Amino acid sequence: MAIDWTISRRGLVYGGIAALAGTLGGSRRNARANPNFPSRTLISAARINDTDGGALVCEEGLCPFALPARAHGAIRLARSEQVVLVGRRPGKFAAIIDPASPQTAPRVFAPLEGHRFAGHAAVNGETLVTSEMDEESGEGAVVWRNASGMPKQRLALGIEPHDVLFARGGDTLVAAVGGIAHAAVIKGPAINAGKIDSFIVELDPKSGNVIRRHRLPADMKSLSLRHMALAPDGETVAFGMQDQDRSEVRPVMGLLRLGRGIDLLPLPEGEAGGLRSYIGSVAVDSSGRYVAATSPKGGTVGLWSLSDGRWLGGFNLPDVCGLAADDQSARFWVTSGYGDVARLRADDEGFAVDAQWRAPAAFDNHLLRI
Amino acid sequence: MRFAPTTPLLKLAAETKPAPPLTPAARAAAAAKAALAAKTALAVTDQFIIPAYRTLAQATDAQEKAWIAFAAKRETGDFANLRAAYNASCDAWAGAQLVKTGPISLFLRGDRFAYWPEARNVTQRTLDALLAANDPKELTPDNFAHDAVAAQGLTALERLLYDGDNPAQALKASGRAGQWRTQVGQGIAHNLSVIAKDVLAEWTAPDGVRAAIAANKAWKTIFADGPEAARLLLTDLVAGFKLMHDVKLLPVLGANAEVAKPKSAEAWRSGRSQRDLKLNLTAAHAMTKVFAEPIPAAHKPKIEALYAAAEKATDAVPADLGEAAADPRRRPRVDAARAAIKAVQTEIAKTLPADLSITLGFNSLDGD
Repeated sequence: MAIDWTISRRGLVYGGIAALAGTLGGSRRNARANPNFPSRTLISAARINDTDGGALVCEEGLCPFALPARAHGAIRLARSEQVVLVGRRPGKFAAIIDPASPQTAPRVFAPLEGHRFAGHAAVNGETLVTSEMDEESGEGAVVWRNASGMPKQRLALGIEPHDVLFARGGDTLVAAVGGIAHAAVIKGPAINAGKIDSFIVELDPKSGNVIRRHRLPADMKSLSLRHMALAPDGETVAFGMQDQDRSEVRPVMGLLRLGRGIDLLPLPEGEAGGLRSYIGSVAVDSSGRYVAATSPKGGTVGLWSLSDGRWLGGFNLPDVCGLAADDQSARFWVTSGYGDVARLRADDEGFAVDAQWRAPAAFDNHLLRI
Repeated sequence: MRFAPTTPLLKLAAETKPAPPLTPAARAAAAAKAALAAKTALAVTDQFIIPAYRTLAQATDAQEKAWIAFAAKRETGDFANLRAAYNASCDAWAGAQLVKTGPISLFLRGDRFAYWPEARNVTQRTLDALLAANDPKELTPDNFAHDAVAAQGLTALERLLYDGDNPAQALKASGRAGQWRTQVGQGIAHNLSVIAKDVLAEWTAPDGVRAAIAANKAWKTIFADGPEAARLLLTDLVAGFKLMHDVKLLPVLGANAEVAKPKSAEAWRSGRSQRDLKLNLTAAHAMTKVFAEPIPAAHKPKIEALYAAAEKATDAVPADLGEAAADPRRRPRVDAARAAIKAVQTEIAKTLPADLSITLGFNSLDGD
């Protein structure tokens, strides 16, 4: 299935985009064919022509844009069509992209002084919340910002907060704290390997007060809780984990009912290790019936029933990681590091492919539908 | 929302239409590629990995014996012998360090064997706590397996052998202080020997990694078959260059000599920074040769030439690599080695996956 794409070797840099676009055949025809397209558009950080940037993706094609460095998660701002892409590794920028003109240089903002972004953000109205890390001490923080990225308030939060989201219509801020202590400046092993301190915390977004902290049982100290997706009910959070010790197979998915507690989801039937102890992205479909999660290490998209937690089935796609729910129920979009874009249809037997494409891009960890 | 796509997507499968079945020729070609990958994984296992771990098990066994001998006659013990045994163990570790797949990845063994790069002097702090604990129960391998990773490997042993005004005297000191310090060293040496023996055994056992690769079967949840093992091992090789370039050199070099960080160099206390790098490169070369056996002959000379250049450049790096990076006169030699190592990385990452039909992941490489 390897498709060779002959594309320009020119790097993606600001101002170089128009020239790049000109070298790629077929673009104008596609654009003209459906001027109102796309009805469904995806956005993802991506590596294209060996250059870090991002891409808008629709069924007709791909529109690459440049970024200052590698980005990770994306989130749409509430009162505009703009999207924030947050940097990670090194995490020294976040960029506000206008999907209507993606190749216009984005507005860029920086983490707090001496901090790095952890790659995720949450939005509620005019408020943007980013997860960050102190570069020296490794201390984690969530930072309240306005919609332009101006910082307003910092709350220290554990070791290595990662994904953040607003639940209950914005009344609760939920943060997954990975708990793996790395000094942000040194790309070394975890300081607290084997004893990581990971949890999901519910916060009052107005005061920053901790409402409730959810931890895993004591015998699951090697798991890091990292990625989350909110169900349409506004208070069920599906979360994915990564196991730092693969000497045994532990669950890597769970459901958190806010105000109550954690239920772990089962591993794939028949191939318990198929997710390779590693979840990259999590999504809940628009009807709230299905939970999906990707494992790039296992090359698998897993599907569970949200109501009873049953494992329903998996879909294999090498290096799959980006995952987003479609607006249609029981439909998910996935992307891979090899440029695959697929729309999957979920039912109680697992997944079927609606359609699949290949693009000349290495899609990064996360996918957002806008 | 409107934007003009600049690049068309290639449609692979349409709604409700199943993908067409592979032709017999395509199926045979895919099977041949998978068989080649599996065969290569087995060759890398037999010719590179198992010999490297055997050397490591022997070196750490000898090191443990050196500590036992020293502890038996501490006041007159042979301190130089401890250092020699430590250096032999480090040499063996540098030869095996780039393998991340398999039993070394379980129970955090890799981090526990040599905790590096270390953040915020955590090894010293953990080792100090261990020395202060003065409790033999802390030194059992079982306790080490569940304890902080930083104070149980080569990095901690280096502190005992090279740090302070007179490390030999600190071990030989009469009374409980010297005795306990020696016990800690011996406990760490034992722990290293246990890890190395276990790793070797888990590669070579009847239900071990080698047997799984040979039978094209799964090993634990680490890989499903021989081709996946090949992908993981080739990823390890490429990641080994990231270790050399991105971890061992870039942070030390910094942007210029003024901001270079000599103490970010690996094992600077024992003066091993350049030697470890050189041995990593030698190991990568040995592993590459096995991977490169089945590739077209025309692709080999460039790889060999780049390795030769990188080895020459690395040989020219002063032993005190970190200090040299901060010295405007000697810094160019460190930077030349960095560039030459990068050139090998670029070439093998381009050539080997394509020639072996092994695809390296993008997202699957990350821990995120």
